[in-house]
Amino acid sequence: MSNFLQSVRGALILGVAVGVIGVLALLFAEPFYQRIVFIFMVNLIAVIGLQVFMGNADITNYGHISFMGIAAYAVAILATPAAIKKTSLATAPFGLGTIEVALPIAILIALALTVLIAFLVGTMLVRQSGTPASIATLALLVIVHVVIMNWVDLTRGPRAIYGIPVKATLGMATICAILAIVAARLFRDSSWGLQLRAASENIAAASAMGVRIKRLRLVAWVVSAAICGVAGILFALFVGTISPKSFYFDLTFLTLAMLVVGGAYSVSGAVLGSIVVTFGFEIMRYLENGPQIVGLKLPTMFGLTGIFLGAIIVLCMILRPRGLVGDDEIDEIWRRRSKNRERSEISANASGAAQ
Amino acid sequence: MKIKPLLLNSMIAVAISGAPASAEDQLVIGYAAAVTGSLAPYDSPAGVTCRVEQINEAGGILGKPVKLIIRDTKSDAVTASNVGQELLDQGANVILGPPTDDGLIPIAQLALPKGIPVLSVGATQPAFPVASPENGYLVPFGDNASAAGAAEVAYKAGHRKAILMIANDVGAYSAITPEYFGKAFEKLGGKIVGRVNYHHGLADYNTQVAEIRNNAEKPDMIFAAILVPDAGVLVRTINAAGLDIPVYGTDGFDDPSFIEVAGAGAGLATFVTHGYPSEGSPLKAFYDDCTKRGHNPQNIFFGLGGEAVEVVKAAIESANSFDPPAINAAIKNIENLKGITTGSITYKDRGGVPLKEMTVMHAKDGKVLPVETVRPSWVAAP
Repeated sequence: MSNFLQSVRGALILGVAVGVIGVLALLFAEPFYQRIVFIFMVNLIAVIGLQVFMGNADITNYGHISFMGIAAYAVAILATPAAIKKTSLATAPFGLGTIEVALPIAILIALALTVLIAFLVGTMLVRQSGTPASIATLALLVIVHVVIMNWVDLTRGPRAIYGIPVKATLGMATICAILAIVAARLFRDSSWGLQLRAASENIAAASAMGVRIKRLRLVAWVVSAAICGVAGILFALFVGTISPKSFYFDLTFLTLAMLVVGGAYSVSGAVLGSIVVTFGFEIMRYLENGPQIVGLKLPTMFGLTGIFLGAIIVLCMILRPRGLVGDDEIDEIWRRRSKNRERSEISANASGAAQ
Repeated sequence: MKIKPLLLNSMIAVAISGAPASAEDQLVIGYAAAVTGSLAPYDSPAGVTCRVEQINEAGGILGKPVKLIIRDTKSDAVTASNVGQELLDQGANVILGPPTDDGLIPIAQLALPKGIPVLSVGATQPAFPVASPENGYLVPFGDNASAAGAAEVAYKAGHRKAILMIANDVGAYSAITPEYFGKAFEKLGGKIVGRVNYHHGLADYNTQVAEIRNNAEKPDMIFAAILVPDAGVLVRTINAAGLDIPVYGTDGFDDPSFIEVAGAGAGLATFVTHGYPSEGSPLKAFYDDCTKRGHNPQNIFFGLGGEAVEVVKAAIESANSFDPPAINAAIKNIENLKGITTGSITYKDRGGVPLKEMTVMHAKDGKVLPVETVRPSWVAAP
């Protein structure tokens, strides 16, 4: 029970940090910076979703963005007003071109569909480990993309779906991000998470101890997909226009970079990586536009953000291969440090008393 | 530590927008351009910048200098909508947008409450103005118009039976444009006798050519909205197969590399494009002056960038106001404006897709040259 409370407390530390960012943006930021913070929240949720599977099962996952895409497309096709569908999705099959589903129901259906597809894919995927499993996730990303591109009647193919109700707010995104953090942390510290992490370190020993690896991987995979689905739904309901390109390699590698920079083995790493990359990106974007800083006019340097992302990944690989945070959660690191300090103080006191 | 960057950003934001130019004072053009990334060839910050320099040198618009703010969309739809908001925050009263509808539609939605017009420098998909009828405009012709232009030219040349080449892999361009052509061609009295599928990036078009050869009804022409280098490979293969069937297309052919790839097959191609810098044309004069100013006119989108500014200038001068809704209303009334790439631009009653005079190009003796101009009399609905 105390373990459970510790997990919740650890999650809340991260949750408060994210909440403060959201609230500050809501209170003080201009519309443009509110958009940046909103997209940060969406990416953060996707990174946390990615961490749930990648961090616990230790399988590099390239397929998480496909679940964002499935959920986003599902909610877009269901919730777009029928009047707009008349021009944009008139030929949709199953009568989807004429119906308009209430938003909460559309969201639930989108999530259920994402979970169902994740479950079906997962039953096949969890049989593999290591590189073959990673390649299978990459294949999933490509398959989902190709289906969206070519099922023109349902998805408009390569053309954008527009007119999706713009209903998501920064407050909602912040709350969803905090909930995702709590869910990911509870999963990580649960007995399932612990067994899965043990299996990722030594698969033979873990299965000898009776860990049901495939089943646990499947659970992590589905939870991960559901969290990514939430990110996709928020994305669609915020931007109001989606296209297949939104859910492909660009976002896959951006979110992967965030997780790798922060550290894939902890939720703290996912959060920290998202923050560092997003705000680093924005500072670079500000610099590349050629601003004037204390009287000094900088030249415009479009492309600086791309260099930043590359540089930060390379530096991270060289200096901190397991990410900025490493293997443990931030609160665990703090607790250990304060324990060490106490211990050293006690031993110092003890040696002082002995003299 | 987590909060500091945000505060820094907020401070930066305040610093940037500390003194936004009042929308009533002067023209502030915000350009959300694909400066980097895969869409970069279809946007032209240099072309827009050059035209703004020219205008400011000549005294500005309504006596006020034009201010231009460019932001990079990185060819990404979400970044496009984000920087669109940034440009609005900075007091832009006109927005120029990126070349694809997934970036343009959200920007137009954000700009709508203030009635700010959004013009795309490079997009030819009429889907954008259809989705944003109040304030969305294309500067180039729509794909439906260029296809209709190609249909008229082909029909006039005596062709009656066409095969359409269809690809689904590069956006709407190669999938939908052939259908626009088909509608216009049938309206004129022609017939579509078959459809052949392909993918861009094929090194070998022999399968497609065999399919065309074995088509039940023999075609006397082919229409393909195909991009380079595939456009060159296609005509080259047709020529090599000994088929003498002409290929009609639109601006996808319009790249200097086409002629090199096409080889002996180049003479089969006729295509409709935005304009050509022939001697004495306004486009040539624009290119020359901009080259002198140190810009590099990379392709026709350079000219379209200048033309976008030209459309805005005409609208403001006719509205005699920098008020965004007034500019927006004035764009909707533009008729027979003399442009940079073309002799005539009309927005009146066109639903945001301008009716333009287009240039018909044909390859002869290793050179692609303009043969005539065309203004289609009937254009398929988007």
